Amino acid sequence: MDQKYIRNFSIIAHIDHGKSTLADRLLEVTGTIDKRDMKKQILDSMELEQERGITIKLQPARMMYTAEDGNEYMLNLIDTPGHVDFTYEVSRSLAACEGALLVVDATQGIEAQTLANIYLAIENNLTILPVINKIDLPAAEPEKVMKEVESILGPSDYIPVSAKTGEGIKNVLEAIVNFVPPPRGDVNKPLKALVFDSYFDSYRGVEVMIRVIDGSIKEGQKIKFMQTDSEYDITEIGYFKPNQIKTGFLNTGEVGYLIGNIKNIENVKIGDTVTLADNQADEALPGYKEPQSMVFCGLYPVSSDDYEDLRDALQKLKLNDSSLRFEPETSKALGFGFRCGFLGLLHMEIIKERIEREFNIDMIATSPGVVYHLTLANGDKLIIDNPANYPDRGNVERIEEPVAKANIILPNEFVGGVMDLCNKKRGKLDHMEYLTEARVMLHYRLPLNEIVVDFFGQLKSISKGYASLDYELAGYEEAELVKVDILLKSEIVDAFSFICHKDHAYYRGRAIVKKLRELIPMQMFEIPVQASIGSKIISRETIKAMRKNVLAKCYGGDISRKRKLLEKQKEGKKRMKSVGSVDIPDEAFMSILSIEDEK
Amino acid sequence: MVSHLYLHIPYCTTKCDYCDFYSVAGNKEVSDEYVYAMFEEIKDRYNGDKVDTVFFGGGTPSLLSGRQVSRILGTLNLSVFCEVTIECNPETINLEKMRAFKSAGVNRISIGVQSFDDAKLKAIGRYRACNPLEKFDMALSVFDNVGIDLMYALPGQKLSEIRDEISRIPEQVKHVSYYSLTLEEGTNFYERNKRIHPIPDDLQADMAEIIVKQLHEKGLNRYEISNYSKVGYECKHNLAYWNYEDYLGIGAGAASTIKGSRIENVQDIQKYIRGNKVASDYKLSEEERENERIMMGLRTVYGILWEERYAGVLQKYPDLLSLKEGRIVLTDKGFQFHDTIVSELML
Ligand SMILES: Nc1nc2c(ncn2[C@@H]2O[C@H](COP(=O)(O)OP(=O)(O)OP(=O)(O)O)[C@@H](O)[C@H]2O)c(=O)[nH]1
Ligand SMILES: C[S@@+](CC[C@H](N)C(=O)[O-])C[C@H]1O[C@@H](n2cnc3c(N)ncnc32)[C@H](O)[C@@H]1O
Ligand code: SF4
Ligand SMILES: [Mg+2]
Repeated sequence: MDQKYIRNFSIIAHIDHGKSTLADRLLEVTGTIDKRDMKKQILDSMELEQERGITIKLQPARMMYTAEDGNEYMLNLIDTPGHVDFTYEVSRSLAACEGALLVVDATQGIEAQTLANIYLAIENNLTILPVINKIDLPAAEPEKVMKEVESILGPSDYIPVSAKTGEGIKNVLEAIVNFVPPPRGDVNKPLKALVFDSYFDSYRGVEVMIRVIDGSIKEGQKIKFMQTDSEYDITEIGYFKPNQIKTGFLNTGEVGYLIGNIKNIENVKIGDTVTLADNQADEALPGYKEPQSMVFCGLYPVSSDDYEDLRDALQKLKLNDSSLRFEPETSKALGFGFRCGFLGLLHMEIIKERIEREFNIDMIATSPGVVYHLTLANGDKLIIDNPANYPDRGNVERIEEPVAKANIILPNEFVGGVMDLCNKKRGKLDHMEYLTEARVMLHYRLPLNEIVVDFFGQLKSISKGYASLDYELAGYEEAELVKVDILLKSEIVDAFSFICHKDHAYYRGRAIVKKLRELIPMQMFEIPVQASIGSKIISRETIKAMRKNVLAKCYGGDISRKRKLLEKQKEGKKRMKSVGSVDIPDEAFMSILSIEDEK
Repeated sequence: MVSHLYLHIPYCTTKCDYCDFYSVAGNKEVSDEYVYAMFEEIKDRYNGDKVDTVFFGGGTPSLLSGRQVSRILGTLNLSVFCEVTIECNPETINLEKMRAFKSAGVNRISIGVQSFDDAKLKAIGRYRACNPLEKFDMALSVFDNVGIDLMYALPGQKLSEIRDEISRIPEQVKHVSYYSLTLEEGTNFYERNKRIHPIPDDLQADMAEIIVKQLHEKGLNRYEISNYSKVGYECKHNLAYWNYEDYLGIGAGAASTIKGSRIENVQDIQKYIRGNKVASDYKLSEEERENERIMMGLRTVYGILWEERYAGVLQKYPDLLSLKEGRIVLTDKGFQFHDTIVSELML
C-alpha cells in the first residue's frame, strides 16, 4: 500500500477510561472483526487481562478503512494499558506511531495517567486527538472535561464518543485519516525496523514485533539485529488482525511481526533495530530508555527442583516484558531464587501470576521493597536491594532512600484527607495547582517505599476512588531508616526482613508479628514469632502447638468427601515453604503489604 | 463378591443441629413405599452372595417396624455368623420393639445417647423425652451385643463432665462410639456456630486422653479413632470400611464401593421411590483408591501394611507412628493427628 494511505496510532488514557472498548468499536466498524466473533475488550487477549478487566500488554491490530474521501486506508492501532505500572508499554507503542487517540472519560475528567500519557505523546512528537468517551452516561460532562484537556494541550478540537454504543466512531476514523500524518520513512533506503515487543512461542521461537521505519522486508531474507549482531533467515512475516496474518512482506511505515526460528532469547533486545544482513543501515535507531525498576522482591520456587525452570520462565517473560529485571540470589530461609525488579506492585503481582499460570511453577514472593544507598563508616558505598543484605547497624554511617515526585489529581473536597495521608507517609508538598475550580493537582515528594506499601489503596479509599496518582523517581534523600528482622523459633527468617523509617518500625514490627501469628498455621510444635531491631526484640507472639488434626468419623458414606478434604490439606501443604522446620504459606511473605497504618 | 450391606433409613423425628447425614425430619415411622423401593434396589443390585455384615444406619433406623426389618432381612442370604446391627434412638424403642428386631434377625444394637445431660443435648438441638438408662436395661435384657454412641466437646463441656459421663455407661455395654462434636457445613449448627464457642483444640485433646484411659479401665479398648469395645466386640461392619473392603449401600443417600467404583444414591426419598436411584457412579483412579486405603486403614489400631515409601514420614514423626509386625500404625498420640499423617502419606 502506498505509504500516504497508512496511519499508525496508539490509544492512550488513564486506566479504565475505555481504550480497549474503543478499540473494539474501531475493529467492528471497519469490519476487521466479524460481529459474531466480537467479545468485550477483544484486544485484551491474555486470560489475566480478561479476568481482571485491565490491559497489561500493548496489542497492535491492522484495519482497512475506506474514508469519506473515497480512498482506502491502512490503519494500525496499538491498544495500550492505562495503569502506571505499565507505562513502558505505552512508551514503546508511541515510538511506533505518528498519532495518539487521547481517550478521556467524560464522567471522570483528566486523571494522573492522562497527564503522564499526554507528556509521553508530546515527547514522541505525536499528533494528539482528544476523544471524550462515555458520553452515553448521564453524568457525562464532555465540555467541562475538554476544558481540563485544553488547560494542558491548549485549544483543540475533540471527538465526543461512546465506545459502548458506537456513537461518534466514524468521526474518530475520519479524524485519524485527516489529522494523523502518514509515516515519513523512505522505502528506498536500507531496512530499518524498530523492535517494540516480542514473545516466545515454544514451537516457533521468538516472535518479534516490528515497525518498519525505512525500506521493506520479505520472507526468506536474512536479517540482522544491529545491537546483538545476530543474523536470522525470516521464515514468516505478517501483521496483526489482531491474530497473526501472514503476508510475506512488510513495507515502510507498516507494523507487524516476523519469525525466524530464533531460539536464543538473548539475541532479541527490545528497542533494537532490524536491518538486512546484505544491505545494512548505517546507523541504528535510538531505541528506548531503559525503564527503572521501582520495586524489588525475591522470587523463589516453592520446590527447589523448579529453580532452573523459574530462570527459564523469567527469561521468556522478559522477552515479552522488557521492564522486568532479575538476577540470582540466595536466601538462608528460601534457598536459591531471584531478586527481581518491577515497575510497581501490580506489575510484580502480574509477573508472579503469569509465571504460575504460563509456566506452572509455584512460587514464593518476598516482601517488596526499594533500593537503598548506604555509606558505611569506612566510607564504602553500598547499594541494597534486599534487606537481608543490610550490614550491621553500627557500620552504617548514612542511608539514603529513593524519593518519588508524585502527582495526585483529585476533586478539591478530598484535598484535606489526602494531605493528611501524604503527611503520614512522610510526604513533602511541593506545590498545588488548580486544573479547574473543582479539580486540583498536588505535587508531592514522597518516599518511594511509602508509595509501595499500600499508599494507593488508602488514597483510593480516602478519595472514594476519585484521586489518581502518577509518580516517577526523583532522586535519593537521607533518611533515618532501620532494618526490622522477624524471627521464627528464635531464628531470623531473612525473607521477612524489611527496612522502614525508625518512627514506623515498632508499629510495623508488631503488626507483622500479629499478622504472621494469624497466617502461619499451627504445627506440631510451638512457634514463637518475634520482631527485632538489631538485637533488641520489639514484639513477640506465640503460635501454639497443634493438639489435634483428625476427623472424628469416617464410614462408608464419607469416604469420597473425606479423601478430598485430605487431598486438599496435602495440596495446601505443598504450596507452603518449609523454613527450618516451620511450614509457611506463601501469602505470609507478603504480609507487610496487608498491615494497616497506625491510627 | 460383596459381603457387606449398608441400609440407609433417612427418616428422623427431628433434625439435630449438628447432623449432616441425609435424613428427613417429622417422621414417626418409615413408609412402606420406601421399604418397597429398597426391595427393588436390592433385587437390582444384590446378587445373592453370602452376607457377613448388615448395618441399618440413618437417620433413625429404629423407626422401622419389626416387620419391616424382618422383610428386608428376608431378602438377603445371611451367613451363619452374620453381624446385623441397627442404630436406635432411645425414645423410639421399647421392649416389644427390641424383641421384634431380635426375632427378625438383628443381633447387635447401638443406642444414640450422645450425652446423659439433657441440657447439653438441648444446646446441640437434640431433644429426648426418656431416660436412656432404662432403655439400656431393656436392650440388655434382649441383646448381648449392645453399644452406645456418645459425643464430646459439646458447648461448655468440662473435663469433669466427661469423667462423670463415662462412669454412667452401663457395665454390660460392649461397644462405645465416642465422637468429638464436628461442625459440618450445611448443618443448622454450622450457621449458629458463629454464636457458640467450640471447645478449643487443646481441651478436646485432653478430653480424648481421658476417654481413652477411662474406657480402657472399664475394659473397653480403643480399636479405631472414635471406637472402643470389649475384646471380640469390634463392629465387623465398620471394620470392613476401614479395611477398605467392598460394600453395597442400599437406600436414599447410601453410598457403595464396588470394584473400584464409588456409587452414590440420590439424597431424595421421592426420587428414590420413583426409581431414580443413583446420583453418581464414579470410577476411582488407582491413586484415589490408594489414598483411601491409607486414610481408612490408619484409623484403626491394625494400621496398614508397611511399605518402603513410608520411611520418611515414619522418621519425621517417631512419636505418632510405629512399626508393628510389618504394619504401620498410629500411636495414641498419633490418632489425634491422623489427618496430618495421612495427608503426608497420600500420593
Ligand atoms: N457506559 C460506558 N462505559 C464504557 C464506555 N467505554 C468503556 N466503558 C466501560 O469502562 C470500563 C473500562 O473499559 P476498558 O475499555 O477496559 O478501559 P481501558 O481504558 O482499556 O482500561 P485499561 O486498559 O485497564 O487501562 C469497562 O467496564 C467498559 O465497559 C462507554 O462509552 N460508555
Ligand atoms: C448420624 S447418627 C445416626 C443414628 C441416630 N439417628 C442417632 O442420632 O443416634 C450416627 C452417629 O453419628 C454421630 N454424629 C452425627 N453427627 C455428628 C457430628 N456433627 N459430630 C460428631 N458426631 C456426629 C452421633 O454420635 C450419632 O450417634
Ligand atoms: S443425629 Fe441421628 S437423630 Fe439426629 S438428625 Fe442425625 S440421624 Fe437424625
Ligand atoms: Mg484496556
